[in-house]
Amino acid sequence: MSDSVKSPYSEDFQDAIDAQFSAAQPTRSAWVEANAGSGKTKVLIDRVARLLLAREDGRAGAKPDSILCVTYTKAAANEMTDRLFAQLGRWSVAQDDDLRKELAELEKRDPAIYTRDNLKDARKLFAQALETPGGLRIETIHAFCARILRRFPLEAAVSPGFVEIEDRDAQLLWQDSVRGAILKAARAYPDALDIMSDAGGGLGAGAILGELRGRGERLLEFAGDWTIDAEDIRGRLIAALGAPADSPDALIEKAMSADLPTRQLRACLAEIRDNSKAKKTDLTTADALEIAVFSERRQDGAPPIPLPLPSRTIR
Amino acid sequence: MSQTRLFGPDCPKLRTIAPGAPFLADLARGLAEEVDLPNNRDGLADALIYLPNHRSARVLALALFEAAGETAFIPPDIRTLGDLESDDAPASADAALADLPPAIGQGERLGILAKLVRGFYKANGSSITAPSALAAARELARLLDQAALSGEVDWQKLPALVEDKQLAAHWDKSVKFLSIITDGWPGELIKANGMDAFERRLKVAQAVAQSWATAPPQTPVIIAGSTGATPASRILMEAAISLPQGLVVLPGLDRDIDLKTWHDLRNTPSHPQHTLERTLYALGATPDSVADWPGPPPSPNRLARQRLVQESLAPAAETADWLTRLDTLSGKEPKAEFALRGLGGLKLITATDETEEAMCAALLLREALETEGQTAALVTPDAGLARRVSALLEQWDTEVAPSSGTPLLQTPAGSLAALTLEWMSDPSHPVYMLAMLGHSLAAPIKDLARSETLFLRGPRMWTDLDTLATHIERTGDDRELRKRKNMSDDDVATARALVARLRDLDALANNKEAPETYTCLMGAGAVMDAICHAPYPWAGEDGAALSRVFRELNDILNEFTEIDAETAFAIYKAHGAMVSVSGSPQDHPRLAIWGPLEARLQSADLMILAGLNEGVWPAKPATDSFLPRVFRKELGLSDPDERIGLAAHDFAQMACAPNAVLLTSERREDSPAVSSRWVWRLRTLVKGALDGAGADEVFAPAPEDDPRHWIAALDSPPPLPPGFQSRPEPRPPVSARPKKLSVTRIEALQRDPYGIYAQYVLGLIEIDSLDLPPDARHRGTAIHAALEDFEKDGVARTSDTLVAMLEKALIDAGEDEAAVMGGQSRRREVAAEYLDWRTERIGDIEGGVHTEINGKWEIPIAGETFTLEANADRIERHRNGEVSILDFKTGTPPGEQEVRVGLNPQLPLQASIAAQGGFEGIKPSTTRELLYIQFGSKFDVRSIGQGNRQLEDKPVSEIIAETEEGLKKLLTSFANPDHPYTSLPRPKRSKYPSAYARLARRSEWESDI
Repeated sequence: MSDSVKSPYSEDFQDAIDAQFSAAQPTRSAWVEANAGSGKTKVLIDRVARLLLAREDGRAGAKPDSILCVTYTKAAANEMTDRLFAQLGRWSVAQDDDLRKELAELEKRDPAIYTRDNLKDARKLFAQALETPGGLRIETIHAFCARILRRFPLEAAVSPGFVEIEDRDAQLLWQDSVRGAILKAARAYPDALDIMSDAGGGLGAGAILGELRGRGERLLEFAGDWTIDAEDIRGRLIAALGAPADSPDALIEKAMSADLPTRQLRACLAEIRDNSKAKKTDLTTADALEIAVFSERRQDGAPPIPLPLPSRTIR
Repeated sequence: MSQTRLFGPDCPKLRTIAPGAPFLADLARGLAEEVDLPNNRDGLADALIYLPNHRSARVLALALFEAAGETAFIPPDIRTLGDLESDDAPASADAALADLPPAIGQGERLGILAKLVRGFYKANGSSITAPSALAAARELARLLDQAALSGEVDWQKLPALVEDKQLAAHWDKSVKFLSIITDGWPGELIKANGMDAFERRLKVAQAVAQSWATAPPQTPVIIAGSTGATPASRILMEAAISLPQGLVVLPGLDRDIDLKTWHDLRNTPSHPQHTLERTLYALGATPDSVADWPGPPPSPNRLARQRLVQESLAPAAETADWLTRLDTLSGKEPKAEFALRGLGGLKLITATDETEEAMCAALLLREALETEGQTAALVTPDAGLARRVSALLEQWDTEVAPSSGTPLLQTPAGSLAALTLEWMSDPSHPVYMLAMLGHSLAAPIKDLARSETLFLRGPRMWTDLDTLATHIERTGDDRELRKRKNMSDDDVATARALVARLRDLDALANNKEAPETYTCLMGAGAVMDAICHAPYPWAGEDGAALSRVFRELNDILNEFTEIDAETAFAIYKAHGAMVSVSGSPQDHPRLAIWGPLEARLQSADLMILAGLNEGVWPAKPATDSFLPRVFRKELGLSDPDERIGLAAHDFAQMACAPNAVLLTSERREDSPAVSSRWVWRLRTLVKGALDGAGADEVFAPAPEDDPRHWIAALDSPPPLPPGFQSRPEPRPPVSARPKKLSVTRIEALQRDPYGIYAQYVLGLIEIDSLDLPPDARHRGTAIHAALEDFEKDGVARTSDTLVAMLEKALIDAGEDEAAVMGGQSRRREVAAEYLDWRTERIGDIEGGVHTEINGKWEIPIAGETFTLEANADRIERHRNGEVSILDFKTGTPPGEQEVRVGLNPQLPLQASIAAQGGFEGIKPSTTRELLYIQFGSKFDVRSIGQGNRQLEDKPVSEIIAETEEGLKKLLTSFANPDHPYTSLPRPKRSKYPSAYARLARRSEWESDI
């Protein structure tokens, strides 16, 4: 550390503190991405606290009910609320000098700048935040959305007095609709059901539908105006992926003959066999690779022997 | 007697009783002294006293009796005001004064509103379901009540408001919707000749005030304990203070507050004194014109507590100077000492979660009983916590019912109604029918449990009562099952009778001949009448509440047509959740569990305030649909935060009790919770007073008084005797040990001996649950059965036949039709592969194949005979006399290694039996091959002995011989009475979770091994 840096901290640590400070500056928009435990919540609390304080240009601080903090979990929302109350509570009963010091550190300003009125305003924030009309808006994204929908049921065209569905109930509902869809398909589209049942292996068509759950809209983009035509969908899929139009067999043939990187593969095999850390399964795989790619039969133009690939798994 | 006179020309008409004082006892004492009640027994005979609710009226009567020296006296006329949030009706004596139409019933009102909501949606070209319309109706009803409780609300201003503010067009929608209550509702009220209950209460109060003005009573009129939160109570107060002997006694008015702050409270609705400020303003008074209730002045410590609590709840503007204000409050004394004095007798406990909180509260209540004559009360708005504490107290034979009552749905009558409606939606559902018929109020049905275990458990193989009847016949015809389950003809007859009974009930539920107005609820009522002995379910408090709710719901459902049982169930649940049934009529003499409303004006030696978390106490104000806050204010609707102010007033009153414990919890409903704002304020202020030092310790009870320490003591069990081990190692006498096991049980004997012990020595068999989703076992059985049937004579050996047989078997086993359909394509492939394989083999087979064939072998072990049994899936006899033994697996067959080490001895042991000629109709034969046939999501054949990447090939005869050797060793060791049946000795080798692991209490000791 050079002599000119007054900070008592290491350079990296000071950088982190500076970054936190700049992200907590109410005048700028910030996107913070950081590891767990690195002080993201602190940045948020600092930012809220600074929003509540009078601005440097003399403007009054924001009203507590004009600030919205959205979190993903209830735990995070309550943690934030708790820490904010703790910080504001500390201010409310702090001695003048201590409060000045804390505010100055938070805002990187000169402690002498804070007038008695500034301090009074800062002390009031604790009770003001506690008594925010309708409660402080630190809430989960779910609670926030539910609140808006509940407030405007007519505008949002939702049933007034709706309740959020529990995961378990959603699952039951899903199972019911999968059931209905399969029964309908068994009557109306037996071929389609066969394809799905095939793809699902032992788990059946339900597993495939489960995989596709939540992707309905994007599927419909492919399916077009409800016309389910396999060739058409294949065409769109190939176009969307930018894939070659060859059949799978042709692709394999090409990959195993002209495009086969023989030299590199040999090098790989040698590498594996020379490696002292290679496990038994590695060596077995190497053997299989050798047979598949370089055996006599290959050169006779016989069909390639499929590699022992991991079996398909459906999550 | 007392020097202060209550009544007289110059006496103050406004008085207050300080927070923390026993309000009703003080009130009684003051009144008794005023008229010298012990010697003048009719001194209060012509007094009229208004109190907020019935409970306080009851307690005041008792307190007066005590103040009269516990002798008979002529009591005053005590009436109730009906407070905000409580639905006490105004005294009937008052109602008679006003010539008003009756108050409209809750149900009728909701029904009409719901109908209007439906009409609105229809007029706008959309539709709404009945439960949603009802939910909307409830919101509207709430809005109507809020308007009535706010006093003058001018709905006509609404359309103008939107125009004035030039708000977005979407508000127009809300305004149009609200025309239901501004335009539609008044007309409907006239049609129904009714009035809104709160509106009516206001009119009654106005009529009383009017009559007092015309002919002022010359006798005492006292309004006590009300903060004046409702317009009705304020009107009565105004009228009372102009009477010659009128008196208003306010609860816990803060008279130390300076006038400027006092007036500012108008804009601080969440402040505890906000409502009192509004009331005094209406009465044209200020705090300094209110006198104290006569009595000895409070002790300095109690005064310190009051000041501290009041200061902690100060309006935000005042908190800027908390530290200096503390200096002023403490006077000459250092503020730390002042705070410590104020906190004497007040404790704050932060529990880790609701469970600990409830246990703390229960233990504190229980502890109070140790001191002769001490009373204690738990106050919480959390009904769940109240019930929890009540339940915890039962372990000490202490019965304290929460005064807020039990939710209807949790009472016997209420739950029976829910179960009946649920059953009506699916009359053959095993869970629904058993829950209804087995309900504690239902008359017992003979041998219901027997029918349940024999016919109703396991996968549901029927969809309605007809197919249930078929299922019973089919099960009754299954000879093997009858033998195995020890089923008699009587059992079948009982089950038939059960179905007949259900058909009768179903007919009652859907009365075809009844008039068109017959609703599901009437059907449910008829069913309940039929299954209960009269007078149940309508007897008792819960029965009465249920019949009231049914009547209300009927009024609601009258407005709708075509309500099916499922909808009626949803509506009943929503409506029933809001009704609570008052607890047992017998109060505990010394303990109580109150909600904040019931606790108003009450006192106890120890007050426990629990549930002090944001969102619980104070509760979060409900989201206001249809109207934003600004609009509400402009229309004259009261601020929703006023409720918080009232709750804060409750808190301040009780936190000032001489002995109070505040309970808050770090976690609620599985996530971190925020402490109540009042706790935050108090804790922070005290921190300030103590200059940050040890504020938490000041609040903490002494270790010996800390319920958390008591819990810890209760939770640590006495040490176990030396050498005790919780891992079970039963060693039953040899005579009790099984002498006969099947080859698959031999596998279990190796993997989980304890399971064999539980099954064969203790005779404990796991029973299927109701409505069990079919699992691998049921599927396996079904597929086995189909493959067996496929080998029968006369069956066309085609893939289509096999697939059809498989699917029928699966569906008969209770498998969902959609699941069967969804797997059809794969099933066809597997069937085709199987048929190819089968055709290839059939040439070498002599005669037909033997399927599902039984065999046994009696082995001499340690001087006794052990019988090894087997049921082979298939045995094929070849032309050279050798046999192949096949086993079908729907899942993955056991690995080669597992078979070789003897952990899966099933097939080799079958070979041993075959070698002995143990299989019926098969001579002693050498086994050529042991085959696992995988027949499920894929088809595969594996021959035991075949090696793989890790294993060399091994002759099957060697494997058979080794397995036989292992079996004899295993059986010999279990023939030793000292050999224990341990639970899952090789946990890694346990393929399935053992049904007996819990019986063996594995989780208690598993980590020790």
